[in-house]
Amino acid sequence: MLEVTELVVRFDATVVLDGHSLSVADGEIVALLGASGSGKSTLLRAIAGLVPVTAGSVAIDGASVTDVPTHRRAVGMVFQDDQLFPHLSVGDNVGFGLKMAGVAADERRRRVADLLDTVGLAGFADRDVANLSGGEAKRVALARSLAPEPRVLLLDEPLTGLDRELHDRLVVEVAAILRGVGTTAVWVTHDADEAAAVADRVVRLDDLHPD
Amino acid sequence: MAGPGETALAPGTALPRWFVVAVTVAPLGFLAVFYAWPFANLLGRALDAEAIGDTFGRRSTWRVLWFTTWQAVASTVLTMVAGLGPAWAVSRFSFPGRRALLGVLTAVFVLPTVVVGAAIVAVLPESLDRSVWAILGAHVVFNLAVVVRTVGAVWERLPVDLEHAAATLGASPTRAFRLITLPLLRPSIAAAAAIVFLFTFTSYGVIRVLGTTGRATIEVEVWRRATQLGDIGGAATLALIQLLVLGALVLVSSRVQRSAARVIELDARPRRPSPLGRQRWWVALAAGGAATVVVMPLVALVERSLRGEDGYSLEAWRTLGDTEIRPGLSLGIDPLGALWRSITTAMWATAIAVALGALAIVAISVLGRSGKVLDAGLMLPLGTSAVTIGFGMLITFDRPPVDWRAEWWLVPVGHALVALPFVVRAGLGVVRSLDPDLRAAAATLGAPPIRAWATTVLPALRRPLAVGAGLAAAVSLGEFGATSFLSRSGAETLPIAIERLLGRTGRLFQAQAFALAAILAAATIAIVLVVDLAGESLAGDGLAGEDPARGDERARGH
Repeated sequence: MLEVTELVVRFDATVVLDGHSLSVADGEIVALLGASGSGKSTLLRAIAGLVPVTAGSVAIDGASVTDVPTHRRAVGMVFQDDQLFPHLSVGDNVGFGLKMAGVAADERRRRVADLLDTVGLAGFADRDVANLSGGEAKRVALARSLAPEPRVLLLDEPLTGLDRELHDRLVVEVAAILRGVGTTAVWVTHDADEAAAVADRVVRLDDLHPD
Repeated sequence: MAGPGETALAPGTALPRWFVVAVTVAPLGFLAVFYAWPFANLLGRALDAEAIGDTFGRRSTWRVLWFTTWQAVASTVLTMVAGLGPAWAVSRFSFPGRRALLGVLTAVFVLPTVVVGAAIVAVLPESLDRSVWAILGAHVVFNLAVVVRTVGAVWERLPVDLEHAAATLGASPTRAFRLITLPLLRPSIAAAAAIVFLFTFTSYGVIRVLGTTGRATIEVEVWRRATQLGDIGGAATLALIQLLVLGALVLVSSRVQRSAARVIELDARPRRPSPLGRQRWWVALAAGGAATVVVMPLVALVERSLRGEDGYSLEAWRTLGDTEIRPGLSLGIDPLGALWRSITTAMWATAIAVALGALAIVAISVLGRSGKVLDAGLMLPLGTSAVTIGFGMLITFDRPPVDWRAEWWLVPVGHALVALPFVVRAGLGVVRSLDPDLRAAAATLGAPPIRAWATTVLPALRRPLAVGAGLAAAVSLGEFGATSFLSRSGAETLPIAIERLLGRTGRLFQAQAFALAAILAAATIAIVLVVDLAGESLAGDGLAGEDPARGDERARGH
C-alpha cells in the first residue's frame, strides 16, 4: 500500500509538484498519465526518494518513508533507458539488489536464474549487457528491479523509445509478469493505449492535486 | 584532409616539386641539427660499457632511482586522492565559482615549474619548505588539474541514474560509489594517474628548487653529474635509463588502457544541477578545498615578495634592478636583467618556432604520406624531456666548428625546439580540416597551383599560428630544463634567476625571487588566457572539450 499525501516538490523557484496526492492498493497497478514535462517523472523520483521533497509525505504500508533514504525504502524502479550497470554481467545486474540485501552467493545465483526464467531470458546470466537487444535489456532491467522484492515498483516510461512491434509485445509481457509477481506498481507513461493495456486503474497527473 | 586530397586533384593542379622541397628543408634541417644529432651523440656517450658499469656500480644511482620512483608514486596517489573530490563537484554540479575554479586549476597547471616551486617555498613555514612534503605538495598543486579534467570529463557524462538505480536496489551512497561509479571511472582514473606519474617521475624544476642533497630525481641527477661533477658518461647513461623507463611505462599504460576500454553509454550532454540539501556542504568542501590548495601558494608568493624587515615594503621590487647586495659587492645575478633577457629570448624563440612551424605545417600538409613522418619527427621533442634536449645540445655544440656554447642564440634555439611541437599541433588540425574542394574551386577559377593553394590555406593559418606563437612564448618564458644546461652565468633567464636567488640565504634574495616568480606567473597566465580565448572557437564548453594533457605541460620545461 502506497500513500502519497499533498506532495510539494520545488527546484529553486520552480514548483514541479503542488500538493499532489495518490493512493495505490496492495498488488494494484496504477498507470500515471500526463504530458511530457508535466512532473510525472518527478513524482516517481519523489516516491523513490531521489529528489528532495519540500512538503507533504510518502507512506508505504502505513509508515512514513518521507525522511528515509532511497536505499532503505525498498522501492524498485525501472528507468526509461534501463540504466543497466555496464561493467557487470546480466546475472550480476539482476543479483545486485540481492547482494545489497546480504543474500549469499549460492542463493543469489539460484534466484537470479529463476528471475531470468520469469522474464524469458533463461541462461543469460553470464552475458555481457553491452550485447543485449533493446527488448532483452528491458527485461533484464525489470528482473533486476524485481529481484529484491520491492514493496512498490516504479516504472518511468519503461517502454518509450522502442519500436512499435517490440513495444506492443512488451506491453503484454511486462504487464503479465507484474501480475504474476503480484507487485504494487506505478507505471508512468504518456501513451493512453499503453496505460489502458497495463493498468488496473489509470490516473492523470492533473487530477492528483486539489485545484 | 589536404594530404590525401592531393591525389584527388587533377595533375595540372598539383604543387610544383621545388615548392614542396623548399618548405620541407628548413624544418627538417633544424630538427636534424638541433635534435637528432645531439640525441644521437647523447646515445653514443650513454652506450659506453665503462659509463654503464660505472653508473650501475654507484650507490647514488640506486638512491636516485629509488627516490625518483617513490616520490612519483606518492605524488600520484596524493594527487588522485586530492583530485577526486573536486572532480566530482565540478562534473556533477553547477555552483557559483565553478568556472573560476576550473580556470585557476588550469592556470596553475601551465605555470613554469620554478614558479610553483617558489610558491610552495612561499606558502610553507620555513621548517617544511625543504622537506619531502614540499615536493609532494608542489606536485599535487601542479597536477590537480589533470585529475579534475581527465576524470571529470568522464564523470560529468556518467548518467546519474546509474547511482539512482543502485540506490533503489538498496545500495547506500558509499556502496553505490564503490560498486558502480568507481569501476566506471577506473579507466579515466588510470589515465590521469599515468599522466601524473609521468610528470612527477620526470620532475625537474620543482626538485631543483625544493630538493636537497639526497633528494634528486633522475633528471636532477643528470644535471648534477653533467654540470657539477663533469661526469658526462654517467649523466648520459642516466638520461637513457629514464628514456627507457618512460618508454616502457607508456607502452604498458596504453596496453592496459586498451584492454580496459569498455563501451559505456555516456550522456551526450551533461546536466549539472545545483547541489541540494547536504550536497551543498560536500560541494563547498571539495571545491573550496581545491581552490584553497592552488590559490594559497600564489597569494603567498605575492605576499612574501612584499614582506620586508619589519612589516610590508616594496624593497624587493624596488631593488630588482640592483645587482649589488652591498656597495661594491655584486652577486652576479641581475633580476631585472634576467627579465629582459627572458623577454628577448622568448621573442626570438617564438619567431623561430613560428617560422619553422609554419613551414612544417605547410610541408606536412602538401607532402601526403611522407608528411606523416615529418609530423612524427616534429613531435619527438615533446616526448623527450627538456633536460635531455639541453644536455644533448650542451655536449654536441662544444667544439669547433660547432662550438656554439657562447652564442646568444643557442638558448632561443633550444626553446624553439621545445616549443615547435605546440606550434605545429596548433596549426595542423586547421589545415587538415580544410576542404580540398576549396582549392579545386580556386583552380577552376583560373588560379595557378601555388596561388590556389595560398589563397585557401594561408588565411586559415593566421589564427592557429597566433595561438602557436602564444604557446611558444609561454613555453620559452618558463623553460627551465634545457636552459639550465645552455644558459651562461651572467646571462640568466627568469626561471634560472629565480632558482638561483631562492638558493641564496638572505631575506631580500628570497623576496626578490618571489617578486620575479610573481611576474613570471602573471605573464604566463596572461598569455595562456589570451591563447585560450583565441582558441575557444575550436574547443567545446564541457570538461571533455579541453584536454589538459594535450601538451601545455611542456610549458613547464621539465
